[in-house]
Amino acid sequence: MTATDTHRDSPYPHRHLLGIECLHPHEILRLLDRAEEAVEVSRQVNKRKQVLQGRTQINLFFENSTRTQSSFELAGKRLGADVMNMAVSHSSVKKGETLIDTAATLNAMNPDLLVVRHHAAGAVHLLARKVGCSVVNAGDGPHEHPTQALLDALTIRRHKGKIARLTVAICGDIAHSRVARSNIILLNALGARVRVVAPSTLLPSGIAKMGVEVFNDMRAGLKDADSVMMLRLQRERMNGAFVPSVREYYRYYGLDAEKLSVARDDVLVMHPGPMNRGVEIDASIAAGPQSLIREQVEMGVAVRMAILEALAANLPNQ
Amino acid sequence: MALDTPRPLVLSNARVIDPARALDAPGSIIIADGTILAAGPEAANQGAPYGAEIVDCKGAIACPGLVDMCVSVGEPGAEHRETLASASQAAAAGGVTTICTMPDTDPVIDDPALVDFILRRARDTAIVNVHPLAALTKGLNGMEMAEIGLLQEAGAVAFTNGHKSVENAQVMRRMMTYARDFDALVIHHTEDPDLAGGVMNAGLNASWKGLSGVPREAEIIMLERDLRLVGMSRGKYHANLISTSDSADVVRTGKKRGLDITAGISINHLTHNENDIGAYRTFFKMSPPLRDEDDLEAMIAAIAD
Repeated sequence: MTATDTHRDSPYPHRHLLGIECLHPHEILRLLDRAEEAVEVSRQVNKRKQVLQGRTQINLFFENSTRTQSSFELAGKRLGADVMNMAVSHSSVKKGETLIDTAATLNAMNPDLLVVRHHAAGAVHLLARKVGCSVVNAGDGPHEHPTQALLDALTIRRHKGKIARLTVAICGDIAHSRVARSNIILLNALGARVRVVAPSTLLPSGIAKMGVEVFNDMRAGLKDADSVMMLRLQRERMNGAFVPSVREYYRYYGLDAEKLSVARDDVLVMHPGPMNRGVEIDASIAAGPQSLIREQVEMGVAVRMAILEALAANLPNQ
Repeated sequence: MALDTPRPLVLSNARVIDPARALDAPGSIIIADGTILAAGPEAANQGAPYGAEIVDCKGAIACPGLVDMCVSVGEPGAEHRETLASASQAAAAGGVTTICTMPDTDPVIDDPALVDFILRRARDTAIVNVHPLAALTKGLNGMEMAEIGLLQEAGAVAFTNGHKSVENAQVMRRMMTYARDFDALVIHHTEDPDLAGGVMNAGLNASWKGLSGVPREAEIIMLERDLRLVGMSRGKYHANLISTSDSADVVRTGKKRGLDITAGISINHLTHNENDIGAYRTFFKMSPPLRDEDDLEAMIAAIAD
């Protein structure tokens, strides 16, 4: 709370980025603007900026991740920070240390920025209360993944010029997806029309009150959509627990040319990765002209540079 | 009867029952070119078409073909005992013109190709309409949901776990939720397998006989659980066979709450009670077991509802 007060006049008046739910629409837009600049920096031969020079960034990943962790690592390095990756398999957590003790230990090393991914919803919030530095949520269980929602928004905005009044369909395992939750909040905050499309077994209870239109049928849900966001279906959920089989899921919920044909001609196809070709998305669609999946990865680095820079601006200077 | 022969047919002196018209009266039925021209008391006064074959029914009941929603057939897997052909002949002999076949065959009907197999075999060998029911869970294991969408597209008319209840409430909840998306009917055998360890209705009668009993609660508890899950999922549900007065009340209450539910009662539970078991007449061992006379009367009242 005090941190928020201190940074009242900053364009990003928060000490952490724990979720999209903590952000005002104008703060989101400011971050996207900042990320646009970071895209330019990342496309230069010399990608190095010095705004995080002397700062220490620790990436603390309790859950395996390739692209998110390397994206945060690159973002930090391009801003001049010293970046350390802490893989959890090598850490003392495996020896029984509690999350709070891990936080206290890390805090004693005086990091400036802590990027955390954890398999439990709320774990990053708990950790943020126990450390003195700024914390970025890189995904906490099925709760939030704010940088993913920001990079998705940046990708859409660069192609459509706006977010407001676009129809965005989020398809797949909504129930277990932090990407879906962050995107629902962000897209609603910026005035998009949000739809979710999934079998009811993959929808969280109360979904109709989350500010979305709910569809169980892909053709209905994708009709006239400006953007389609596919979500990954984890293997352990495809064999009878939530959906009967891969082939049935692909038949009714896999994004193929036929289902996509009811969307707008200039529809954007997105996927946070890693994707399962032939499960939630057809290989030809994933590689097709409407697919922005690779571009999302590029935007990810830019968005993470933007948020790290915004947080660093609020760090104490002496 | 040979409906497709060119010769007209008159069924005279029949008790004509037609639920669609709330008709139950003595009368005739006139059939020509495979079409019923008239049926009921008025048909008795119309005389017979030229050249008609006239059959004196001697007061027997003539009614629309019956539908049996729960038929266990030996095919596939036990063709040495029964085939779709022989089962369909037995059905026709009893006035049943449509049967729904249970999926607890060998192999279990849990794959679209097997639904297709039943439909082809029925087309080629059966003399009544055959509609396959498909498995609710893979191999009827009660844990992994079957491919409701693909099975339905192949021609399955409803989904059931056969004579095994789905014990796991979470599995049952997800099954009904998923089936709802496809507007698929779930038919469930409501019997808690742990409580239902016996061979006849639990009570004094079973105790004197020294037989293990199936308490009424085995059925009631599972039925009440299911209807709570129907309330969560808002799907279509049919309790395969109910046998107790409390079950009938549970279903009535559920319908009052607006649930899309129905229940089945077997002819056995409308005509017999546990006393008919007498001296260990084992052909009266059934699931659910025959209950007492009060339950029998409650079942008749439930049908009348």
